[in-house]
Amino acid sequence: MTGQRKHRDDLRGLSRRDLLRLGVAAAAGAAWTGGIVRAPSAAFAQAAPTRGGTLRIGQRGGGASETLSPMRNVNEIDIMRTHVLYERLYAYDANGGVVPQLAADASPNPNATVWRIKILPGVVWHDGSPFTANDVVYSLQYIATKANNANGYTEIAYINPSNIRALDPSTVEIRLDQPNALLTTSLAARTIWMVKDGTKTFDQPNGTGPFKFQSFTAGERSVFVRNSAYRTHNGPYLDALEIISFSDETARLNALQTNVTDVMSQYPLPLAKTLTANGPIRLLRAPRAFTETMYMAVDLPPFTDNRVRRAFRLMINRDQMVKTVLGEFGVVGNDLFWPTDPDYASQLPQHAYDPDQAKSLLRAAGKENLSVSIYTGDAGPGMLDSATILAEQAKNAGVTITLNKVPGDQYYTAQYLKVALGQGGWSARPLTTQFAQVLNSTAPYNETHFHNADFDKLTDQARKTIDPKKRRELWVAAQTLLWNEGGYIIWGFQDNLDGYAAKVHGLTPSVSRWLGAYNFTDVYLS
Amino acid sequence: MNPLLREIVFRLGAGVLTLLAASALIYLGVSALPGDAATAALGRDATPQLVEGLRKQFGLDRPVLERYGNWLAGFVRGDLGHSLPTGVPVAHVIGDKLWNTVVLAGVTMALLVPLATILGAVSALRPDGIVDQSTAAITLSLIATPQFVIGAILAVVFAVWLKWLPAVSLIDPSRPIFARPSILVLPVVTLLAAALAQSVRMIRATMIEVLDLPYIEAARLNGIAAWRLVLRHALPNVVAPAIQVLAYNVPWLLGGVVIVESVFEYRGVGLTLITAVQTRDLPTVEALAMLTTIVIVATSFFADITVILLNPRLRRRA
Repeated sequence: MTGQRKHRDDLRGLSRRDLLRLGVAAAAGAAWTGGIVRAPSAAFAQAAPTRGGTLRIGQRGGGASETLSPMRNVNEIDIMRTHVLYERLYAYDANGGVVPQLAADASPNPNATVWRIKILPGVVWHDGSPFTANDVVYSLQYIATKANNANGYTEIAYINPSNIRALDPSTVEIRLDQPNALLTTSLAARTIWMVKDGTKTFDQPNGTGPFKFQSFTAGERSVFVRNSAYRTHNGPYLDALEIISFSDETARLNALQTNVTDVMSQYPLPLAKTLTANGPIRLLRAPRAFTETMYMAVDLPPFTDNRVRRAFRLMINRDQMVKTVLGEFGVVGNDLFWPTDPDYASQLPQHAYDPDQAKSLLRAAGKENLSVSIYTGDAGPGMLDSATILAEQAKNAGVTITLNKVPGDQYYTAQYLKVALGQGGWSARPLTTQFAQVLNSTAPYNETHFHNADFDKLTDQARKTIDPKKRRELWVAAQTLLWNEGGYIIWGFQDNLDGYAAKVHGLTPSVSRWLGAYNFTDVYLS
Repeated sequence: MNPLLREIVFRLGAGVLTLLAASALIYLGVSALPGDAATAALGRDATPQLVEGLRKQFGLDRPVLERYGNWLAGFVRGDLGHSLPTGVPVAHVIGDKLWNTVVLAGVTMALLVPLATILGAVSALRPDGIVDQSTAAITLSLIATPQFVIGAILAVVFAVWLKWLPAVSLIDPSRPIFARPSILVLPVVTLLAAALAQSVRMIRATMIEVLDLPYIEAARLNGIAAWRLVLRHALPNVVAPAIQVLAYNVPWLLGGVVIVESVFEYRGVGLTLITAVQTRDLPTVEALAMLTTIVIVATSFFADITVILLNPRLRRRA
């Protein structure tokens, strides 16, 4: 599955006790650092990148369950390692758009049932051998074979492994049973990694990425060194990366503050305000990279009636919710996914705050003085807070919402896809991917239990349409349908936040994952 | 049979029964938690098919009692089993982390004993005096504060602000812990902070009782100096209760170790236990639970036996 926030890596949904500790630690840290003389201003910072040094990254670990496999990993720290060692045919740019990485070109036939992909010339594996079409074929076949249980299986399950072949050392041909104009989007998913032809085990990683494997101790640390044969002209500048596993968020924060680590991804939202642009610790922000949604199951009472769904969308004061939960680190949402996507239906009017209209809708539906519970927990940034505020705001529409809290690390098991009203966090990804994962009838994470034939038809058609303009019209029509009768309450989008020491340069934010989607190629230390 | 021997055998038997009961309770308890190793390994990707497949692989599709029986059979043979997500032998997972925790707990106990005794004795010599009252105030407020808050405050003050000590006690596996003793300081102080209150109060109470005894009065009337009084006449009678106090502290300390290792990222078995529970890694949790139970049972066993041996009256009665 592509870039979802895993429940374990996302225990940055802080428990009360974590927050208490972090509060003490960071308030003190802020008070202390606030008194230090400011670093010299940016005018002197534009020096040329210096080569050398080791970047120490403190990341939440997974103990004994950590793995080097790019095919089956769940911990965010393992995902980081994969991004550093391996590459994909396609990847995401800073705004979540699909761009080529190991592919040079991809061309479909007129009805998008046969694709020819040319790979980038001159790429070598860490062991020195050349990257060829056979490697691509092997990797895709491996992932598309159900028995291998690769994370990326559902992403390319529609491709029959026997329909993937190499036409020549630099061209791969993929034949599809059904037209798909968006094959390259599937290949950009963060689970479709290229490994060398014939690889069966992944303990000795051999990738094409900017860093090579040196050492790994599960639950403790891993070290990667510069790949001097990497194809970029200048980078990587760093000699090495050291990724250190932490079990505790306070310790991870303290490590950054005491120069034990240089970088910390998923910097806690409540503490981000204390960082300043010239301080010893700085903030990397990727706007609108994440959303903590609320969902209503359209086949469960009371949400079977669209009037009730519309009422719920109207009774939320989104400005207040965003201000309280996210502060300056978020914007209001219109119950639709991904304003960063070029096909986002930005022309649809913003759902407004109208508790009176909400009340009359509920009355018309015979659901005055409704009482419902929301499934919630500390399983994501702002999840519990937004649920609490929802309960407050709902009172103005005569609705009583009770919080059904579960511990953060158990949130996404069992009950999550069965409740009538719940929450789910999602990080930015292309619309087609998001719809396939949550809104199409066959979606594995169908939070809103949406089985709408019209919607499926529109999305199917869009995926077969090669012309981008026509395709956009179909996406907009699909979104209009969701805007009118869908089950999501997407009240806001929030920034991905990372913390880094002042000596770290070259980190560029990306909406698709933290720390610039773990791109350290241009990072250097001063 | 010699009464003392009978006592020992009886206690050993009770200890084994305790182990058995604890192992069953913990196994069933962790199994009853929502989610299992398969859902934990898959996280949000836990679609029903994937979960089923992984459950089979982990052997989680068998009934709980059967799995417990298998584990028990293995345990009595000395086979600790394999960690669920990765299949690595549990002994390997725990490995050198055990030594790290032993060092942490050992250093703490080594400091706790003299500290508690001195503070308790001095407090008892002058009840409600300056030392007594200030010790009481400090230790009681420390015990009222959650340990993770104490740890966090210590880390902020001594590491982030003053930079005297490391905030994070990352152990370098290539060097012995004592090569860098500074990483032990804050964790040990945090553990002591909470453990001191009880130990000091108990020793103080015992000491006050002892100092009230007639033979002490007699010694004092004979002109023996206060310190000599305490050291040579009172202290020996406090040893037995002190041992019991310390044994009483061990379970408490073991719980504290988990918290402290977490706050300072000190890679001992406490941290291993936390991750094992999060990943529902039953074999590792059981192994660590058994370890803890053995330590606690053994400590109270030895404490009881030592007290009996030290006290001629109890020896005779036993």
